[in-house]
Amino acid sequence: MIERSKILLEVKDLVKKFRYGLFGFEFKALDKVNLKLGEEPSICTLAGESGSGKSTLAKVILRVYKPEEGIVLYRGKNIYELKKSEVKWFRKEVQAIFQDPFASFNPMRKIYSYFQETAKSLADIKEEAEINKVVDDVLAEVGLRISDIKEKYPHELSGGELQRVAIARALLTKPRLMIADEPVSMLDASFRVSVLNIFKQVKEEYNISFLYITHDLATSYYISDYIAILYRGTILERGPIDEVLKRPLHPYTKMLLESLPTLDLRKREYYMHPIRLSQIEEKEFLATGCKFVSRCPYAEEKCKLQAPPDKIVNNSIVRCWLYHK
Amino acid sequence: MSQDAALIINNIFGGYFVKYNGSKYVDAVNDVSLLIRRNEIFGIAGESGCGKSTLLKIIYGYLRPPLIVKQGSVILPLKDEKVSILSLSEEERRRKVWWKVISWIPQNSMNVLNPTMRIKDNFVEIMRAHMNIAKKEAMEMAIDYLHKTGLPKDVINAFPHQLSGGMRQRLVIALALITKPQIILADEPSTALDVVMQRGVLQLLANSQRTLRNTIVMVTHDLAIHAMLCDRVAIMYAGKIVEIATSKELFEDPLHPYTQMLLASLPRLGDKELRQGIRGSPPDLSAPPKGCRFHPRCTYMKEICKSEPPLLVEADKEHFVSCYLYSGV
Ligand SMILES: Nc1ncnc2c1ncn2[C@@H]1O[C@H](COP(=O)(O)OP(=O)(O)OP(=O)(O)O)[C@@H](O)[C@H]1O
Ligand SMILES: Nc1ncnc2c1ncn2[C@@H]1O[C@H](COP(=O)(O)OP(=O)(O)OP(=O)(O)O)[C@@H](O)[C@H]1O
Ligand code: SF4
Ligand SMILES: [Mg+2]
Ligand SMILES: [Mg+2]
Repeated sequence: MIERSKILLEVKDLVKKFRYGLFGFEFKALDKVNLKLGEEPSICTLAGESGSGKSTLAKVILRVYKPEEGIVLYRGKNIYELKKSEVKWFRKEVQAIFQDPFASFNPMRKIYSYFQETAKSLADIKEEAEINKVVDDVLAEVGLRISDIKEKYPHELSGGELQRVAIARALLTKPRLMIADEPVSMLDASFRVSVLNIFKQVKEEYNISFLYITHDLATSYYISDYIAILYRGTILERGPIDEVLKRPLHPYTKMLLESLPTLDLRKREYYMHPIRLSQIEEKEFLATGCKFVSRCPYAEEKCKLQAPPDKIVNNSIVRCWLYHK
Repeated sequence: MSQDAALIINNIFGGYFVKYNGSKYVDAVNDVSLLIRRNEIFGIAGESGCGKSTLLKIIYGYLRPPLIVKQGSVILPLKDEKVSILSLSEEERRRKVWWKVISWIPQNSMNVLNPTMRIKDNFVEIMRAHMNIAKKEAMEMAIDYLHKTGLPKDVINAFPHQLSGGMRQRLVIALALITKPQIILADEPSTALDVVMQRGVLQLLANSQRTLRNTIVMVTHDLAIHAMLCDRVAIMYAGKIVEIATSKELFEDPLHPYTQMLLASLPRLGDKELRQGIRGSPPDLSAPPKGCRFHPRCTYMKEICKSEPPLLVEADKEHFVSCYLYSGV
């Protein structure tokens, strides 16, 4: 979907293993994950149900977890083989925003001190007056002023305001990529869209790309250009957002879309059509064939035995034997 | 009073008395009246902290400190008597009302299951506590019942931690249904689940309602779930009910400015049109705004909105709203 020479982030055949419980058996929380983001600023959603491996992938990209197999290239550089000077460069270029804004800030510390610290350590701005100015700029971007936060502690702001503060702080380093792990799921519905609008706006104005992690396909459709659907550690389908959400290829994507409750009352009757549910998730993670086989209405013998490889169909990439005929 | 009433909730004022830096009162439920009917799924929606769970606890009569009810009544019409839930002692509620007539599925209820007991033993224990039957009989009934609910066989012998969150949640719901209650109070029963599992859980609830022809009071902040499931929906804002209507009316022709703005802020799949959030934020319930509690965020605010709370009036048939735009002051 993107030309090789213009790649911002490339994740290749990534495998990350964990153990269930303390002495439990090993399983692949990420199993041969491939993903590419182009240089052109874009928002790519990583969607999938709880436990599918979304945060694990985010953490591998942020250099928190080292993968057992595969590589992550950021602008052509393997992020697990960076030199010391490159580590700082990487931390400037790739910023993160997490689900709970209150957990990202120490309740005893004034918010402004975080801005000072980031400005000094990562953006190399030392003068107080200059710091003030750049902080004012990034705050303006999220609809706040320095006076709104200067003397405040985190709990003196609402969740929506604090999440905007977190975005503003991330902007200070002029990053190229933001990893946003469920950035709006803890916010009230009436604040959510204003945070999403900020993503759209800074994508355009600051040329920043986003990896937007969510399980909410409606907000994903609203802001994204691309989407990848993760299931039990495997990306089953990825491609342009309109393609994947309007003409889904993988049986799981189809099931997911059909199961979405909507505000459209005409969908009620359909919503009540009985469905098949997963029961034992460990079994699915350990499946050697397609991870979706136990719930798939089209499953054949082959699907149980062998995992399907990626296949390009139209503008998307899908991992399903149905498309290998 | 209407013949088909399942619950009549009259002018409830309730909240939390908290002692922290002096004492304050969190005004979580303020003058709420509702008539909930037999054989309906009644939804209560509203954003985090608006008082949904508090209202449900009061209806059930689960009043543990610091929760108090200052005023109001909850009437449960039974065959030959009218029970006033809040006038009973907790012992009487336990004996007469809880589980037998009303089941409550509390928020985050997955931990209702005892982790050291197998699922079947969990069921037997609850049944024996509330149905007055022998252990053997309870065990047979539980196994038979779990089969009928369409849950897989091996689940019966599993421990709770061996099951997925969705499966545990389905079991909690099955447990709430086993005594065939007339009323089920369900607080965010599918919120922690992914959409496919959520659909399964809601189908389980809706199907049981169809079979038992009982009443479900469904609390969730997720409006799409209300749209898929409920016959009527009440919208709550900062401790007050601001609108009640049939699902069709509410989603297709909302009247209250808050409902309108909230619905307009929600992105929809297949539609990229620019949307706006609601300015400001919900109030601190220990110091709620005077007058209409929505007035600081409302674009239609008039002078009167700042001083006097609007009443809930029937603006259209079966469509109630609490806003001066409709009560003609
Ligand atoms: N540090 C860890 N050690 C062991 N197992 C882990 C660890 N972190 C995650 N897991 C497991 O890996 C799987 C993927 O977890 P992950 O947190 O990436 O999921 P997710 O898609 O982000 O889910 P959610 O939507 O709930 O945030 C889960 O089964 C989880 O229990
Ligand atoms: N035990 C408690 N002590 C003090 N205040 C409480 C307590 N429980 C709830 N509150 C407060 O009462 C108000 C209403 O809370 P409630 O739990 O009823 O909201 P809710 O609508 O169910 O929210 P959510 O969607 O987050 O579940 C909130 O301001 C909350 O902080
Ligand atoms: S009563 Fe006034 S402030 Fe409240 S919602 Fe109606 S118009 Fe707005
Ligand atoms: Mg996660
Ligand atoms: Mg609640």
